[in-house]
Amino acid sequence: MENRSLNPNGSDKTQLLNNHQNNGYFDNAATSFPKPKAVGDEILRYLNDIGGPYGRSFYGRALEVSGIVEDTRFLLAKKFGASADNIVFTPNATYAINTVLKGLRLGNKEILISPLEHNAVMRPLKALEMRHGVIIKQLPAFDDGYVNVDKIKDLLTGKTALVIINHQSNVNGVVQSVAEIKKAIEDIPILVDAAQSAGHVDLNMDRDNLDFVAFTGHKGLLGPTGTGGLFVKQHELLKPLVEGGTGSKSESFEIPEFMPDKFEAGTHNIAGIFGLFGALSANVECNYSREEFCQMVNEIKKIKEYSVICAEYHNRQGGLFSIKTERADCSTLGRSLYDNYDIQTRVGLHCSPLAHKFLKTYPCGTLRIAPSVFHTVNDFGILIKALNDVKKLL
Amino acid sequence: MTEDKILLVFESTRAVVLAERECKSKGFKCVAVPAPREYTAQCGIALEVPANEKDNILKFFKEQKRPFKYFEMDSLNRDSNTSI
Repeated sequence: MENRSLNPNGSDKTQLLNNHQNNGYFDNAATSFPKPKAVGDEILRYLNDIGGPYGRSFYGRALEVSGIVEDTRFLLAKKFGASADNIVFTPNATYAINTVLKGLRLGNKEILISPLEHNAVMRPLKALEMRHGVIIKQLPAFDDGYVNVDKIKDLLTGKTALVIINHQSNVNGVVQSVAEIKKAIEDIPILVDAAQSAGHVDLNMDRDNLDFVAFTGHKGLLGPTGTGGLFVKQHELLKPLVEGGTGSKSESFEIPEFMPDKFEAGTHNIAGIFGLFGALSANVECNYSREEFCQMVNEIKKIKEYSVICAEYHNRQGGLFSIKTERADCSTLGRSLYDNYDIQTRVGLHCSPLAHKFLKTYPCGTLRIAPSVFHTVNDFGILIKALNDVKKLL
Repeated sequence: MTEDKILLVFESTRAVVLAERECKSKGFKCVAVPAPREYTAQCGIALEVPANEKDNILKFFKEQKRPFKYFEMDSLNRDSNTSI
């Protein structure tokens, strides 16, 4: 373990942790770690043993690759209560969100958003506002950012063209009821940003009548970076974000109009998709119960030096939350946790200035704690002990 | 002219991969082949199946409701009777 102290007599994290083999990585909302062993195994199997393209060719190697890509699409569809015919691969959730925002005809239309949107939504949306006169309106919400479904109808007009909902906040972990929101907006399309929720929170795209769901493969789904996707209920509503070769309709200069080719121009991230296949096939169970997670949050709430930024009610709390302290900037707190206890967190605004403004944690931000399914109750105990000890150093 | 095989072409790679699996799972013999130049308006991969299974295979794929075209081929891969 690295000793980062500039003081030669500085702390030795190994000693402080009593040589306990803990998992100090609490930045799983940025990207998950560790991954199931099958992720690396499958990536290496592709790179070292199989190789070959997706589609395009008829020989066994290409068919095996194509089969794994389609199996992965099927596993995603099964997990999300959708048909595989409605799932397209993208490099990440941001790309999927851009596909929807730039593929719909939104010029001069009104778009309703939750108050907890990430910049993956806000930046393309602001670009549309500037270039195409899109009007952005924020949905009414409770103090923790949970959308007040009863008041949604007050904002709907004939110009409302899309409602965007961050399914699980990457700042305070609030989980929105996308099914209730979709019921309230009826035929108006909904775009769900499931970057943080996919793999953690129940998602059923057909049951909940969702229109577009953007997700990433490397967070809750435990796959590698560079993987993600988009659920599209009615592809006729969308223009493709990019055009290019698909291995189909090769005589034409126009991209095919059918799924998934319409949104999958260019060579796929096949190595990444093999890794995602490994992750989805591993069926990893969470090492701790929801009650044990909530107990950990409650224990931290009892430490009076910290404010916990989370949902008002447990039933709308996802698997991450933030803290802040009046005693120090969150960067100081984050560094102290890392230098002394090897606890790795993300501090600052988390690419979500809108959420921090709404939660009144802007511009200082927060320290985010995002456990993994591989954490144990023992790891939670070490985290709580570290927070208790570190407050004395601030 | 001897019609000894049927060529099935689908619009996308996804469709042909799924079709090959479904075909094999039902016990039909099938092999993926590069689609002949005349048929590459669809996906570049085609499925070749024995002509004596034609009726069963066509019935099966029509039930799957996945768009496809088929062509009856002779042993020299010449199109003997194009059908859609």
